[in-house]
Amino acid sequence: MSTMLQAKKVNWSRIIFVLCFILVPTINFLVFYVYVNFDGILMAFYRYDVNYNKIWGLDNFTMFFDELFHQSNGIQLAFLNTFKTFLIVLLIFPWGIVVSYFLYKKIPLYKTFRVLFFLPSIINGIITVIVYKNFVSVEGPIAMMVQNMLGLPEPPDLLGDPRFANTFVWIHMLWLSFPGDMIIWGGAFARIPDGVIESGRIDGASWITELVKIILPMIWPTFALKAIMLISSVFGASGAVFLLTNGDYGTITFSAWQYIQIRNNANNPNSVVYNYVSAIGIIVTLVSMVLVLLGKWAENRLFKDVDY
Amino acid sequence: MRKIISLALMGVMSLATVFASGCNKKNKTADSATDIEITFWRSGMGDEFMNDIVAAFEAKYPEYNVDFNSETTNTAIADNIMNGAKYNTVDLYFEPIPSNSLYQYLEPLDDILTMVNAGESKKVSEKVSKSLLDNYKFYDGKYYTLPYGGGVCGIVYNEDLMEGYEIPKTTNELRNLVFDLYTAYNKDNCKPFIYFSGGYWEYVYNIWQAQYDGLDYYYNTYSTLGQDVAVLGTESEKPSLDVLTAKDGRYQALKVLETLLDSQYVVSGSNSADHTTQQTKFLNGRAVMMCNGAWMNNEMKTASSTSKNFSIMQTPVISSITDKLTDVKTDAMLSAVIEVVDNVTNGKIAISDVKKADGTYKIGEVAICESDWNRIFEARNIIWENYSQHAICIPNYASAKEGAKKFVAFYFSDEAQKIMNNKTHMSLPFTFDKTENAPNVDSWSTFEKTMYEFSQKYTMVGYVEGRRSLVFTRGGAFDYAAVNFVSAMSQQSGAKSADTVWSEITKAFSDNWNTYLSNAGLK
Amino acid sequence: MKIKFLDRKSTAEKILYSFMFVLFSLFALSYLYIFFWGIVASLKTHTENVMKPFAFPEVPQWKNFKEVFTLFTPNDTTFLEMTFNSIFFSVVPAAGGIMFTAMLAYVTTKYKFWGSQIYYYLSFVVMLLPIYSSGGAMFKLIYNLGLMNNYLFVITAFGGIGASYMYFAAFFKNLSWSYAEAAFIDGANDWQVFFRVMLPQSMTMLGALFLLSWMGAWNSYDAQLLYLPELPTLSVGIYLFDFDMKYYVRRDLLFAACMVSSIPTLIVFICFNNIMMNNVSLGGIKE
Repeated sequence: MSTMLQAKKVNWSRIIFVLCFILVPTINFLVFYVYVNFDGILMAFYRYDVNYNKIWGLDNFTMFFDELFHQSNGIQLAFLNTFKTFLIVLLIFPWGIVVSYFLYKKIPLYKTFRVLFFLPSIINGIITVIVYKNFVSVEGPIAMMVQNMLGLPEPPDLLGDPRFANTFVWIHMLWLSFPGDMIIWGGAFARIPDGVIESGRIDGASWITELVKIILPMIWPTFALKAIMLISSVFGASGAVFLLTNGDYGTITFSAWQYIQIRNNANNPNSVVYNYVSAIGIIVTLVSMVLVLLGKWAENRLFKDVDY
Repeated sequence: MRKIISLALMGVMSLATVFASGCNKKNKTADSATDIEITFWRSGMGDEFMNDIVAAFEAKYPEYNVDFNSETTNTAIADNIMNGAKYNTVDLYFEPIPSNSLYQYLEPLDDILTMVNAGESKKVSEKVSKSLLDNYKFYDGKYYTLPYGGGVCGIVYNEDLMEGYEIPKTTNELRNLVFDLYTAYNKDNCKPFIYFSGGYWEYVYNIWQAQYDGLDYYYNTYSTLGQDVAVLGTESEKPSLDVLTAKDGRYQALKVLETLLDSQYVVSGSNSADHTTQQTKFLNGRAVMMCNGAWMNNEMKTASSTSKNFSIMQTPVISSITDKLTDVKTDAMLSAVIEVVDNVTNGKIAISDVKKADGTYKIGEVAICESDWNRIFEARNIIWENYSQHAICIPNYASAKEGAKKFVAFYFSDEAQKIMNNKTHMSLPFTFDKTENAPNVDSWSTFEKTMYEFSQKYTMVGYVEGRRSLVFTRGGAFDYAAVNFVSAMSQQSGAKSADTVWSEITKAFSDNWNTYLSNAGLK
Repeated sequence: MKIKFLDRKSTAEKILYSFMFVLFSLFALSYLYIFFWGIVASLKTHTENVMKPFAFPEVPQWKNFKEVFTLFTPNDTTFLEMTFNSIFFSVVPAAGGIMFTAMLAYVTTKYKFWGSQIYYYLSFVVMLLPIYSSGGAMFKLIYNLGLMNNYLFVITAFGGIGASYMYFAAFFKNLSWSYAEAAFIDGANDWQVFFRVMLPQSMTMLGALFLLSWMGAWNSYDAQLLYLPELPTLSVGIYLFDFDMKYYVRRDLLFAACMVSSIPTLIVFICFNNIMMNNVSLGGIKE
C-alpha cells in the first residue's frame, strides 16, 4: 500500500497544491449543498402548528415508527416490495459480470452488442416506458399470451391488476438492465493482462473457473466497491414503479412511496410531509450506513487487504 | 484517442466560455406596474381563446403590456409564489386553486366582483355562476381566487349506441341499463363503461354521496368534518373522526359502484391506461359510457372518431335515497317523482300544477310530503363541476396588481366572454340571462349544447377547498382514504365488495387519524 | 459451414456460446425494436396508434416529421439549439465535475492532512441522504448569482463529493505511490506528479465516470426545467412535449419527436462508443 507523505517541515508549495485541489469542490459543496440544504436537514426536526409556527422535536421520527406498524398506509408493503426488488437486483448483479465476460471474450458480433446494449441507458426513459406499456397493453401480444395460458375471458390489464402488476414491473426492470454495468465490468476486464488468461487456458480452466478463480480476484477491488454501493442502495431498489403503475396494484416501493408523497403535495410547499420524509431519509441513511459497515467488515474477512 | 477526447472537450469548453460570457438569452419584460405577466395553465380548454382575450385587452388598454405565458404544467404557484416579489415577477395566475397555506400570499379579489365593465350594466359578481362563486369563498369570507372556466362533469355517452335505450333516472335504472348494454354489445367488443386508472368516477360518486346525505350535510358537515371553520384551530372545535367514518352517502355510492364495475362491464385495460388513450377508444366505439366532462370535445378535436354524436346525462339519482324519504319508498315511485321534477325544472309544467294547498306534492295519483319533494328536487338538480381546476389569483406583492385586476375584470366582460364561448364552446364560469349575452350555440355540437344547458340549469357541486377541514387540505386525508376502490372492484378475479372496501377505508381513517391531526397542526 | 470463432472451443463451450449468442441477439433486437416501433408509430395517426398499436399505418403520415419540426419548439428554441444545449449541459458539467472529483480524491487519499478523511464520509451521506425541499433556497441562490438561464449554470456541477468520489478514492488508494516517488526523485513537483504521472494512469477511470455522468446529465430535465427554461435541452423539450401532446392528443407527433430527438444521442454515441469503451475502467487491478 502507498506510503503517505508526511511533511517534516512546513512545505508551503505543497500546502498551496493541496489547497488548490480541495478548494473548488469544498466551496461548491458548502455553497450548493450545505447552505442550500441546511434547512432541508433541519426540517426533519420540526413540524408546524395550525398557524405554521415551527414546533421543534422528534415527532417526525416517532411518527415513522408508529406508522410502520399500520397496515393501511402502505409503508409495510412498500418495504416488502423494496426488499423483493433488491433480491432481484442482487441476482442480476453477477449477471452483469457474465454479460461483460462474454463481450470481453469477443462473442461473435460483440462490437454490435456493445453498442446496442447501451441503448437502454441513453434512450429517453419516456420512450422505453411508452413502448413497454404498449407491449403489455390489452391490445399487445403479451396480454393475449397470458389470457390463453390462464384461460381468462378477457386479455388481462397486466399493469392494472394486482395479480400481475409487480411481475410486469420487474420484467420491465430485467429487460432494460439485462446488459448490466458494461462500462464498469468491461473496463475492469480490459485491464487484465492477456498473459494471465492465456496461462489459465493452457492449464485447461473452464469458463466458469476462469471467471471465478482468475478474473474475479483480479477485479476484486472493483467488485468489492460495487458490492458495497449495491448494499448502500438497498432502500432505493425499485423498478419504474411511478411511470408504470403510479405505485398502485400492490407495486409500491419505498422510493416510489417517498416520491409519490412529495408529488401529492406538490401544490402545497408548506406541507409537513416534507418534514416527515426528511426524517425518514435520515433514518434510512443511518440504517444503510450500518449495513455498509457490516458489508465492509464481511468483505475484509473474506479478502484481507481490501481498500476502497 | 485520448488526444481526440481532450481536444473535443477543450473545444466545447472554449465554446462554452464564449457563450457564457456573451449570451444570456431573452430578457424578461420589465417588472413594472404596466407590464402584466400572466402564467396560464393550458388544460383541455386550450389557450387559443386566451391569446385572443389578451390581444383584445391590449387593444382596449394600450397603456398595458401583457406578457402571456401558456404552460402545460400547472404547479407554477406552488413553485414560486412563496419566493416573493424579488424572485417572482408573475402578476396573474390562471391555474388550479392553490393550497390554502398559500392564501397568505394572495390578494383579495372582492373589489373586482363589484366592478362594472364600461358599457355594461351588470357587476362582475352578477355575471359569474352563483354556485361557483359560493364555492370559491374562503373561510374568512373573502374571495382570494375567482373561477375562469371549468366544465360540467358526469356520465358522457355515445348517442348512436344508446339509441333505443332510455336515459336512466335512478341508479337502479342505470344498473339495468348496463346489463342491457352488455347483453347487446359484448359480442362487438364494446362494453358499457370505459375509464382510465380509476379516474373521473369521482364526478358521479361524489354526487351520489351528496344526493344521499343532502347538500347541507355534504358541505357543512362532511367537508368540514363537523368543525366550524370560522373558529378553526381553537380547542373546542376539533374535527371529528366520527364524521369521517360515519356510514354515510359514501358507503351508498360504493354500493352503486359495486353493481356497475363488474369486470365484464368495463373495457379491460382501464386500470392502467391514460386518459387520452381511453377517450380515443371511447370515441371509436369501444364503450357506450365514460365519466367525463365538458372539455372532452375540445380536447379530442384532433382525434378521428367513428361516432360524432355524444351527450351527457344528468347524473342518475341514487336509488337508496329512499332510505331517507317518508313517502317515496320504491324505485318506481322515485323515478316517477324525478320525471315530474324534470318537467318543473325544464319549465314544461309549473310548480303550482304539482304543489297542493296542504303543502304536499301530487305525483300522478299519489301525494308525497314536502320534505321528500325537496330532497328529490335537490338531488336531481345537482351536478359535478371541476371548477377547482381553474382559478384566477394575484400575488399580493405583484407590481402590476392594479393592471392584473383590470385584466380580470376585462376577462368577465361581454367581449371577452364571447371570445371564450366561441373558441372553446364552453360557457362556464359565466351565467346568462335567457335573453341577453347568451352565446349563440347554433353551431355547437349536441354534446356542447347539453353541457351549456346543464351549466345554466343545475347547481354545481365541487370541492370547497377554501372551507374544507384542514384534515383534508393539510392533514393528508383524502375522500375514501385514497383507497383505489374502482380498480379493486373491477378486478377480473378477487374483485372486492363494497363492504370490504368500506371496512378498509374506515380502518385507514382510524389508523391515520392522529397523523392527519398532527399534519394539520391540530394536535 | 464452419464458424471460425468456435474453432478452439470445447463442445460444452460451443453450446454455451451459442446459447449466449441467441440470448444476446434477442435482447439486442428488443432494444432495436424500440426504434422500429417508434418509427412505425410516428407514421401512424393518433387513432391508429391507440386502436391498433402493432399494425402498420394505412397511409404513412410522413408529414408528421415535418410537423414535429414546426411544433417541437419549446420556448421558441429550434432543434439545433436544443441539440447544442443538450451537448453543452451534459459534456461540460460531466467533464468539469469529474476532473474536480479526481483532483479532490487524489489529494485526500495520497496526502495526509487534517480533515482529509471527512470527504469520504461526506460523500457517503450525500449519496444516501435524500433531501427534499430546500425551501426555495437553491432557487434564490441561483437567481442571486445570476445563473438563471445562463450557460454558467454548469459551475453548480463542479463539485467533487458524492458517489464518483468513492470510485476515485478507491482507485487512487490502490494506485502504487512508487510511480510518484520515482518522479519526485527525478525532481518533479506535486503538480507535475499529478498531471504527468498519476492522472494519466486514471485516464480509463476518468473516461468511465465521464461517460456515466454524461449519460445521466443527457437525460435529466428537472433542474434544467426550473433554472434554464429559456435554454431547453432535448430532454426538457421531450418532457414538455409529452405534456403538450396529452392535451393536444397527438401521440403520433410525440413518437415522431422522440425519434427525432434520439438522433443526436445516437450520433454522439456511435462516434464516441469505441473511444469510450476501449479506454474505460473503474476501480483497480489487484496487485
